[in-house]
Amino acid sequence: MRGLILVNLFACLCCFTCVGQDGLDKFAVLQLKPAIGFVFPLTDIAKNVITDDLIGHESDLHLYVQVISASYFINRKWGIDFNFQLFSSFENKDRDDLFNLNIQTKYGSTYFVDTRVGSPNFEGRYIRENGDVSFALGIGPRYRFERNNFYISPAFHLGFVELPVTSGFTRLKESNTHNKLLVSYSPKDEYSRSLSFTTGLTLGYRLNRYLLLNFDISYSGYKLDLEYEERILDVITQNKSTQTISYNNVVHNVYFGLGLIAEISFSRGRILY
Amino acid sequence: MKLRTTLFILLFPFIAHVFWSCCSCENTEVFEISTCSFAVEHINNSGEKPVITSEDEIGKNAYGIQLAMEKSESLCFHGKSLFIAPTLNAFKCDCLLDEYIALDTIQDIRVRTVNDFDMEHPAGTDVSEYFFSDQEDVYISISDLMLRINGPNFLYNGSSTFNLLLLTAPMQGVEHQFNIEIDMTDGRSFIEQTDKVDLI
Repeated sequence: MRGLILVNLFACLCCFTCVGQDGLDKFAVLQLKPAIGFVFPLTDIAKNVITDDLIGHESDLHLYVQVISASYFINRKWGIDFNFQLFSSFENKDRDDLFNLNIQTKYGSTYFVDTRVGSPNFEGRYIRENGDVSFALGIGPRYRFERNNFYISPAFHLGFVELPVTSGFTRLKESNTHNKLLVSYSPKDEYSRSLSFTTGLTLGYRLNRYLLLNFDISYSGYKLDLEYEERILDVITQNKSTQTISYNNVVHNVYFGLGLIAEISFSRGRILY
Repeated sequence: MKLRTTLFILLFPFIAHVFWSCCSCENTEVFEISTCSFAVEHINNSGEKPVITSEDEIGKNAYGIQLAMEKSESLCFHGKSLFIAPTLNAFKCDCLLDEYIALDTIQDIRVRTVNDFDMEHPAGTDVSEYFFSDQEDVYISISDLMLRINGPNFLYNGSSTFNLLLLTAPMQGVEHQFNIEIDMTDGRSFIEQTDKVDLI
């Protein structure tokens, strides 16, 4: 990953060097690109343990919304690209229910289960601390080539992916006895942020001088570094046991998306078109 | 005097009352509480939560006793409000709650077994060490319960029943009965006996 950061810094440096050769603002172009598309996860991070549903990660086909992608081209070919994506599921999964179901499956035959996910808000209602939506942010160099209204633009981004993580708690009362267990699942860190790299290709067709229709294909990878601690307290004996559940997968994703590119050109501080 | 001035003078007390009400609290009442008697019931804790039962048979690992204080309240102070509309107030945030003063509190609770319980506890001996109070996520001993009851933050109006759960099952016999002895701080003592129950 350190190597990738150095490569990205070097590529950005190249872009700024090109400015010196071609002249500032002479070919400056600002592109804004809203898009929507699919994510095909190549890695399933789920370990088939109870904490799987405390992590806001989709392991099957899901949707991404490119809230904003902005590219600033400082010469004919090279530019800096900034990218922000939100990810959401097709199905409206209730992860709290899934967590409760997993607890019921594990303990339900001998215990009465009372489960809470997240933390209580000011009304006393339990909610997930960090919501349920993951996002990715990246910055890196972009190259572009355009001929006969056809546009091709590869890009490389470094950034981070944030997965929302939350805590879970369950109170277990054994049937026919006074025995009680308190089981809690707490993430080591409040957020799960992983350094990510993305490489992609944008194919486009110019509709007019301001708008391009584009199709995106990209690949991203990041190494998850997430730990949950499971604590079980026996209320009568006060015996405690602790177990760590680690998620250390390298996650690979492929994206396909469709969107529009709005383009504004500048010349020495003036908008050309 | 002009009509407008006259109206203002006539309405001034009502306008003043509205402003006063914004800073006014509901009347605080002070109650004196005295414990008159106790009632004991069997508890069956085999389900999700302990429930009072009159069944003759209860699982020996899920048995408990509920001790209910029967109290009498006497209103010894009723706050007075100013102005003409005593119910008008804005419930501002720092209003005082009604106050409950206990004239007497529980000093000690002992549970004695009527029948033989185990080798160390024949009939008539103290088995209080086997009973614990269920306080949400922790079981506390009767001595700790006494500290809590006599502590400064204990609210008498909110807790008038105590569940004493038998965490160690009896080793001898099936039919059991318990005497609950309660000493009060004012020198009174109560002895309540549970009905006979089979702990199976």
